[in-house]
Amino acid sequence: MKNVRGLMAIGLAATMAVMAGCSSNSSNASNEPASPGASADSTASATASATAAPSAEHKPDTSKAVALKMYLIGDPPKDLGLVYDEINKKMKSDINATIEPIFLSWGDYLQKYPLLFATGEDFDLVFSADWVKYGAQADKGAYLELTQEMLETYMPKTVQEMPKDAWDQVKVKNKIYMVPASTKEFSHTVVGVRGDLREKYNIPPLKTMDDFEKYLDAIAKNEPGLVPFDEGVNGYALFDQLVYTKLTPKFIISNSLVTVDLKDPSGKLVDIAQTPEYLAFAQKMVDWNKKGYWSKNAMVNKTLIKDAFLAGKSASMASNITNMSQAVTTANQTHPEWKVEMFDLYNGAPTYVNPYVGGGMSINANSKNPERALMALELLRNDEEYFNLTTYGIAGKHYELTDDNRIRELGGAESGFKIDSASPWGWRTPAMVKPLVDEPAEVAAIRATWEKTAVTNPLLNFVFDTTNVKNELAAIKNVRDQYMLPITFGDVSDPAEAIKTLNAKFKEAGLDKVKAEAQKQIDEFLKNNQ
Amino acid sequence: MAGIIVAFKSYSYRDGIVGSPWVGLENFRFFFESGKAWLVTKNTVMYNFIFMIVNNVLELTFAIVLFELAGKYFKRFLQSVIFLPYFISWVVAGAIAYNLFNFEFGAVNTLLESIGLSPVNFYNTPGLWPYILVYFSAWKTVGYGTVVYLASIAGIDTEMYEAAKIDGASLMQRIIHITVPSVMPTMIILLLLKVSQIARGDFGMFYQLIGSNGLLYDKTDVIDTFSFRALLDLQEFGMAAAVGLYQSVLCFAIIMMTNVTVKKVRNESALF
Repeated sequence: MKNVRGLMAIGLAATMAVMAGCSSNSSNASNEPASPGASADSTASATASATAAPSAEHKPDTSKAVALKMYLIGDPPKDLGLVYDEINKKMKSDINATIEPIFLSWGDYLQKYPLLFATGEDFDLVFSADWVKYGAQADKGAYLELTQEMLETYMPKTVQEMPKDAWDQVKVKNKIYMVPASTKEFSHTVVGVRGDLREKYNIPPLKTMDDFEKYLDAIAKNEPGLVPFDEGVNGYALFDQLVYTKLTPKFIISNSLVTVDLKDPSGKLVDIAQTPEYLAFAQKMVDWNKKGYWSKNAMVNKTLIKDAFLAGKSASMASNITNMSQAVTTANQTHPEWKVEMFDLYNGAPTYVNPYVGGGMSINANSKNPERALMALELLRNDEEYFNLTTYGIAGKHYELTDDNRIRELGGAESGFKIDSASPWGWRTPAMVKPLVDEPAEVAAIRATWEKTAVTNPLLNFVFDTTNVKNELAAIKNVRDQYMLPITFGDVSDPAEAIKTLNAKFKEAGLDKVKAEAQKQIDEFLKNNQ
Repeated sequence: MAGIIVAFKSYSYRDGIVGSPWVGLENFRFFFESGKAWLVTKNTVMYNFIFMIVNNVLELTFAIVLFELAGKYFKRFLQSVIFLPYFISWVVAGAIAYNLFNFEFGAVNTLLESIGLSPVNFYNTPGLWPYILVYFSAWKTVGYGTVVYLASIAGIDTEMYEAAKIDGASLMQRIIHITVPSVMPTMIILLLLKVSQIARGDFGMFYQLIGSNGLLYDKTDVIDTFSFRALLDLQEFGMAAAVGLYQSVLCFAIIMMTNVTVKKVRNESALF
């Protein structure tokens, strides 16, 4: 008996030792990444200084074949393999490398993305953007720092093509970790409505939110089978339409309503939750909820408004212009009798171009081949053939180019590789993107208008460093979920009272401290960026 | 062990678990300063306690009824029906709940309207949700526990029942004096296992049934959903580990207390 016990004790101890070994191993592994990155830096700068004229004559060594791995966000299309086989044939001969895309699906990318770096996985390229916490991830050492020498050596065309302020916008604590896409993007929303119904109820083309309300009202009264605007839990469009058109805000403190007004050069923080505009918005939402413009249970509705519209369940939709352009195109292909139309309700109100940090590609700090990864990215961005393959698919099978250089999609709904379906937004460049044949005519016009009404403000590039206020931000997120969402969906009995509670809870969560910290950083930022 | 260390550190990929700087109790601050710590802890423990009692009573009852039922095939069929929801994921259960309780087209409200009552906005009425949650928890897990109890009842020596029958014991008497005492050890083990998890909310259930519906949070938020929402945007490993550690400590304290109690009442059934 004694012996058995002894054995058991030894067994247990051994197990513990193995476990302890595991954890120390993993910490070693995560300790390491700094060194290869650093050495890559130093070799890069060393070779650069050795050749003295870095960009033109310098030919990086590509004698060793390399297989690159690239993480993107989205769901892979059916013909992904075919298209990337095609790409790899070219890439093999160009830079002696192959590239394999791996997808993090829309359902769980937020949870999985940070784990890519925490587990020390071996990959090279990765999509990055402010909405996957680019700044915070860079701060934690997820990405490789891209030095000027590296960029000039391995991506000369990109350096030429990239707007100057784009590099400034992606800097985190003065270091570059991302090669941003260089197209101009807007996140402002447009609405899509059924043209047949609009004409049936004699409503003139929509110009403002009031016109839209008339349309919704006509549907609510006359079309019992249709939800006028099937708002769901991810809905933000009405807030955008009703508040953005008045304030031109850039959000500073996430999950609160603390913003700066981009029309105001002083950079004073505005807490929208305390403005009369917000009260007006809240009252309108309660009114619309009561009139049945959307389900009383919108807060639990997970169907995207676009999908409800396309399924014929609702009479209108709203989203950003890229999304709406695709939705309207699809609707007009499947239901031409709906005569779906798209309207810009900004009606001349100021807009702004999204900061470039909204999408780009980064190099994993653990990457064993950062040089080749940058060279591959250079090809994806600036070589027309690579760009067309990754964005539009195989010519003649998935798309064809018309004489006036537009893209016609082939294969319809059954196509194995729809436009943009393989998530190529990390390397979009304005010179490469081509308009679609059946894109709604309004899209180009609306974009042109918005580029004219766009305001510029150095604060567009401002990134809030949250290191000192993490605890408060966690509390603020919970206040938002519990007290702000019901207001957004008009699911409160007394809007004024609900807003009072919201502001009191924000205060309890420490919003004032975060505001003070943000204002301090903004003032500092403006002083350095005059 | 690594989790416990990370709870006291500001974790970064570059420095790893060992190399990241210590931050003391900083990671715990958000939880205790939120003003919700007590509420969500109370919710978690109370819900788990009620689930444990209700589910165990139902499981034992179902097991006894199934055992005493005649008709082999009917018994098998019933057992399968009760067991089936165990295999349904909470995602699907959440969708079922939405279709039951939706204000405009939900089955329950359609029924209420057809018999002339006014519809109820379930997703706007926090008071109803404790009952709904208890119902769904029972619906999903009772089948599994029933099988465990059935196995335990099947192991009881049949001679005892025959002897009792000869002595003239009724069905009820046989159940109360033979079946129940015989399954007591199984019951206590099951209860102790449940108690050891009492500070951990069933995330799948609460997240899928309640989701982002803030109107219900005061009645339905548990530690797991609360910290999930708070940290989803921040992605701070240290703060998540801190919440996990808090739950572990709480579970440890409760299991120790329960074990001491069990030891006093019924020494042979204690865990250690």
